[in-house]
Amino acid sequence: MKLEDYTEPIKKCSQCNFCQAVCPVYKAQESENWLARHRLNLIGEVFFDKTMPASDRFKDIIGKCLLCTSCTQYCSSRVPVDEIIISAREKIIEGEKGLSSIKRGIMTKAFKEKGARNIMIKAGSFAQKLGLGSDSPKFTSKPFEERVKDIVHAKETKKGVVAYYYGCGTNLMYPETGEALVNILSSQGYDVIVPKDTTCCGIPVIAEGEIADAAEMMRKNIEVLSKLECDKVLMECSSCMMMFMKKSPKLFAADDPIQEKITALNNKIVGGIGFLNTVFTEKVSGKTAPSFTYHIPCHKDKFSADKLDVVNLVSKVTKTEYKAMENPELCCGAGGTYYMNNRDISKKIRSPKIEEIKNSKAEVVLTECPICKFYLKNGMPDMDVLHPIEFIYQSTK
Amino acid sequence: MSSIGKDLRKILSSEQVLDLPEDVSAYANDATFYVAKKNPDAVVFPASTEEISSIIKYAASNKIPVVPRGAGSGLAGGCTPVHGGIVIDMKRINKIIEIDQKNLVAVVESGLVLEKFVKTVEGMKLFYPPDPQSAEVCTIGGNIATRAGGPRGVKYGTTERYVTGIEVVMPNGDVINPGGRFVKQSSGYDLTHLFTGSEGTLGVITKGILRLLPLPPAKKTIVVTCVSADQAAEIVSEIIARGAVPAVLEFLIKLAVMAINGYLTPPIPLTGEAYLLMEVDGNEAQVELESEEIKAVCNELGAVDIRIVTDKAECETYWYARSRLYPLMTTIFKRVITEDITVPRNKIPELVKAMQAISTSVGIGIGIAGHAGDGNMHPTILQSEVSEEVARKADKAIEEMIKVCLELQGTISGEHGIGIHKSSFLELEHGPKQVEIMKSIKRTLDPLGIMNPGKIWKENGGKA
Ligand SMILES: Cc1cc2nc3c(=O)[nH]c(=O)nc-3n(C[C@H](O)[C@H](O)[C@H](O)COP(=O)(O)OP(=O)(O)OC[C@H]3O[C@@H](n4cnc5c(N)ncnc54)[C@H](O)[C@@H]3O)c2cc1C
Ligand code: SF4
Ligand code: SF4
Repeated sequence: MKLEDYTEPIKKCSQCNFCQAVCPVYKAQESENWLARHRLNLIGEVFFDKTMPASDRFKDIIGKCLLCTSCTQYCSSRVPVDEIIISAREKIIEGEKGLSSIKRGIMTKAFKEKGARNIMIKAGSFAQKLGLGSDSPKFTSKPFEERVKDIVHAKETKKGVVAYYYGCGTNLMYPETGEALVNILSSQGYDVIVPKDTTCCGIPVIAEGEIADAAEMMRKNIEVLSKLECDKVLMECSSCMMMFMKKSPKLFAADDPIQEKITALNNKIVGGIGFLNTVFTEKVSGKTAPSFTYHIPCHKDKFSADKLDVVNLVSKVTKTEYKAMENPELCCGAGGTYYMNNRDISKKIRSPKIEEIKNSKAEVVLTECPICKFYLKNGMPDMDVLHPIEFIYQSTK
Repeated sequence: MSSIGKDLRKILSSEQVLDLPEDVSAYANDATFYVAKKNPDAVVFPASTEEISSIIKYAASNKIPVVPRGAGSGLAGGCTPVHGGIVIDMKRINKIIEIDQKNLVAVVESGLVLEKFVKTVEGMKLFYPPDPQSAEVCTIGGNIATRAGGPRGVKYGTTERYVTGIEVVMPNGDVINPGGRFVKQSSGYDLTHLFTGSEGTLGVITKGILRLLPLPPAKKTIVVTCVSADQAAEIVSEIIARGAVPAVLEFLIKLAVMAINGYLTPPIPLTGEAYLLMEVDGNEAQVELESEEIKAVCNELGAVDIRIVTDKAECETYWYARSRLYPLMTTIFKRVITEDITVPRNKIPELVKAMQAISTSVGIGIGIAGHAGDGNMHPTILQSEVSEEVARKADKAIEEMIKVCLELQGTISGEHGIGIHKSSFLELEHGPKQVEIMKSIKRTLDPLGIMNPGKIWKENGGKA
């Protein structure tokens, strides 16, 4: 994922301007200088044509992308806009020293080293310590990895063995999600391996342009997960899943031996929702549950035919009513830690989402991404916002 | 801060003005970046007709060029600020003011995105037919200013048929409201339609009064696989000749089908060289009758395969995929230039043959994927590399195409407008007398020449 790798892809932009239909930052700011197309054009001018300096305004425009991937997914010219922006950020930080890079260094270290990360969390929220703001997520006092054994055995006749890669959001913010998944799986007849020596998927550091660090983290994860003897590797966080499936091959050179392991591993990786949809093939007589609406996280394939697989699963295993929002794929505005540095823009993006949720008249909002979950709840404190797996666990247990 | 920017901040709030080079370069081009790129001095985001009027008065007193811009999705370089100046981004003036169901008209602000409008009226069982394939971003103002059309042109015509009135800020800042909510008018010159299609050169359109139809209750999509482009062209002519009027009649070469297949399950089998994608709409009985008639024509003329799709969601996937065609082509080619020459419909077979001949003689790929039903064939110049040599060939091919199109009594632009892209050919179509009339209208309405200069015809007979 070096900027030079995108010399040809960046030229594929047909300038059609269709990304206006989906770029949340453009929509909130209502001017094309914040649009995906313009970011590409600026990167072209600054780093490829070298007709413009990497000015502060340039950095600001590149920095204010959420990396939501809406443009990349929507673009019919198939321009990997988010990756080009990430690699431009790497170029930008190469030339930067000072406070921002120190702050970034601490962040990276926090995510990279699990031990250090947990100590910091126990001592209090590191995000707050870094001065990133008071509306940062609260961390659990007992992370998921301390709540669950290394292997949880099937409670029913054994159907198979799966491994579960839990993301940082689940581990540190919402351990209930992980517990729900493990419990559903074991009661459905699966041995669940929970490897504790994995690390963060790298998305928070890659967002800062620290591509080499993200690669190092991903390498560790791939090594660990490749060794496991299991039928499938499950993930319930859409961003972790995107990092493994879509970004990991691009983090390494084409001739790096890790590529073979990535291919093999990616054949085994499946989303928690997708897997449960194969476990519960028919409608079961679940409990009555509150009506729900569903927010599609950006890092899921949100324009694919399968985008409402959650609705399908939930409707099969619970007695509930799905109350669709008008545009379930609209971004919530959080973008990892983006909202901490760009409060106004994030709130502007979130506000139509909240309107749509209210208009849906649903009692619960479901979404797979822990950051979406946090940020939506933050915007509507009286609303229940749950991971769909937690929701179905409550109605099947 | 530029001096123009400084002045504009006295008229508008500072949040409504951009003038940093890193910001204004976002407004240097539309979807035809290869034609021209030029930064404006400033971009403004007015929120009302009054604000536009103030901006224009300022521009007029300082002789600064003004370029209205919708979504910048144009395919003619229409909103490229060739002389710099002020770009007016219209997208914040975007309300649906009224949907008047009794009169079947809607009053809307011009920065409204077409798709939003279409969805709203369809929710009320009403129908606004113009369907440029950029609906998710393009604005009503951009549509009116270019007389935009789309696949439905064959049955329903293009934007100008639906404009019954407008509000315009004139080049001196005056506001006028030609036309109205009536479906006919026979009083005075038709100013409404003088501004319709004026590509931002006569004033800024701020509102449109648009005619609506009742939403047809039924439709079907028909996919026909043809042996050759010639056969497909024959089928099109025959369908039209027999009086069947499909709502959409699109012509696609195999390459185009390969490109859109990624969006289709099941994909269209690649058993032919050319394809027709049609939609018939109306009441149930009419749809049944017309689709049978079309099927009969296709069978008689020896089509390879005919697929009739009735499921609404499945039908939509075909039209969504079709609308992606132009950007999809750029995944295959380095540069793609879409032309929109339009010929009388019985000339389509001749046009198709001529395009194939030009492709061979000039030595450059030409794809055909067009709104064949209305004679608007969108021959597309496909460039596998970007070089001066290839650019020269592309120019040559466009020139030849235009000649052929005019020989066949066609028009050089069916829906995209002239902009700068085709300004050197205007006189070929209209002749010097008509062009002089157009210029004298322009001089009368815009004596200072501030409105979108450098468009539609070549300036000083030279380069735009
Ligand atoms: C992939 C793709 C597919 C397309 N398919 C079609 C198609 O099927 N049919 C078709 O007709 N076009 C098509 N287009 C071209 C384009 O989308 C249309 O011309 C559309 O009408 C332009 O609208 P816009 O808002 O983007 O206008 P812009 O590109 O911003 O402007 C177009 C012209 O209108 C003027 N203008 C804009 N707003 C105003 C206003 N309020 N007052 C006065 N002048 C104004 C501008 O100065 C300029 O000259 C396509 C474009 C793309 C990229
Ligand atoms: S990034 Fe894609 S959608 Fe946006 S202008 Fe370029 S080609 Fe079009
Ligand atoms: S990743 Fe999201 S915020 Fe960034 S340019 Fe694309 S659509 Fe806009």
